[in-house]
Amino acid sequence: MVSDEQIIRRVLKGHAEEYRELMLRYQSQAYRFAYRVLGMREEAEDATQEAFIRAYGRLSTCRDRRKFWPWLRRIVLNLCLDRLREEPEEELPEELSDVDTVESEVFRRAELEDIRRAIAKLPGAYRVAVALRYEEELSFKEIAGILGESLSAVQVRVHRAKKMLAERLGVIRDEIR
Amino acid sequence: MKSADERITEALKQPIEAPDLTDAVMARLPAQRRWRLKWAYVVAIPILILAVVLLLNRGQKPEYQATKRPAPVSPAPIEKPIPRPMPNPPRIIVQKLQEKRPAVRRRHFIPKHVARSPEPKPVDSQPTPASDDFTALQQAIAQAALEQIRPVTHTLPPNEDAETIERPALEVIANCGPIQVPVEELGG
Repeated sequence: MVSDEQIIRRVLKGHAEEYRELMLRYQSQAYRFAYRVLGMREEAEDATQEAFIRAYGRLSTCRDRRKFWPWLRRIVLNLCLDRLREEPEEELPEELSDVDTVESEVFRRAELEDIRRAIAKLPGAYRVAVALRYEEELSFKEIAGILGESLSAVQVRVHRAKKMLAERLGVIRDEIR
Repeated sequence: MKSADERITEALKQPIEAPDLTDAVMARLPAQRRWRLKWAYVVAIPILILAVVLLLNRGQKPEYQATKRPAPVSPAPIEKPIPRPMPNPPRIIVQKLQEKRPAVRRRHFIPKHVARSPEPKPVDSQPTPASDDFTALQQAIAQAALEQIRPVTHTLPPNEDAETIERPALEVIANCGPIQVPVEELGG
């Protein structure tokens, strides 16, 4: 199997068709990440397309060609954040109820589809943190580096996102009953 | 029992049907390349044409100059105007300027030992040439005044005799002419 590095080298030499192979490898991953962050399929599709086009134009700036996905993910994330900035900010609750004790129980009982739906309804900044933390499985330190924020700020944001999810899942569960 | 983190991860790891975006993206990439190519043509073709035209003109340049270009005409020498000497200012102006010019006071530096010297300098009693001139001028004025003196006739009342009084020359000059002076004032 041809490595990402070899494909990038051939694309840079002028074999543009080779870029299709890179896209086939990473498009679903990129789309899923964009969808987790943006919460809308059409927006995620546009962001993914734009990310691949931008990546093609800047392919020569990809330093570590063995790690194409982290580089592409960064482009996808930047585009998603640009789109999130255009949206009106959602009002966040000042204080969340203490759900620590019932948090795990709520998540255990909730359907996976409900969890995904609840994540999609989170405010943009929280969706980003959740996607990076639980989908990309990055450490808090890595997330802080990507978002350009402090470690504690990222930790607080993920924690608040979990509480908000627990609250929303509780509401969903009540609605189902 | 799974924790909340594990459940969230599990939920997010569920596969999502991603649309195939390759065709759409690849269709947009060559468009960009074509656009770049167009720009290359837009820049390169005019430069090539210009270079060819310049090369062709370079070979024909002497003939073109011989047939079409008129012979250069040397410009006529420009005559420089002869500077006229500045006329002397009228004497009246010079005199007035000299009169109006304030006296320049020169501050001479006098050393302390000289300023404190107890011996006074001897006063030069010899008349300067300037004072001699002034005396001569005074004499000339007096002479002219004497020449101007005329006898003044004073008309006295009918019971008194008329007298002719000669007046001093300097008074005549001061009053610019003869003055009638009563005889009583002169003690006559």
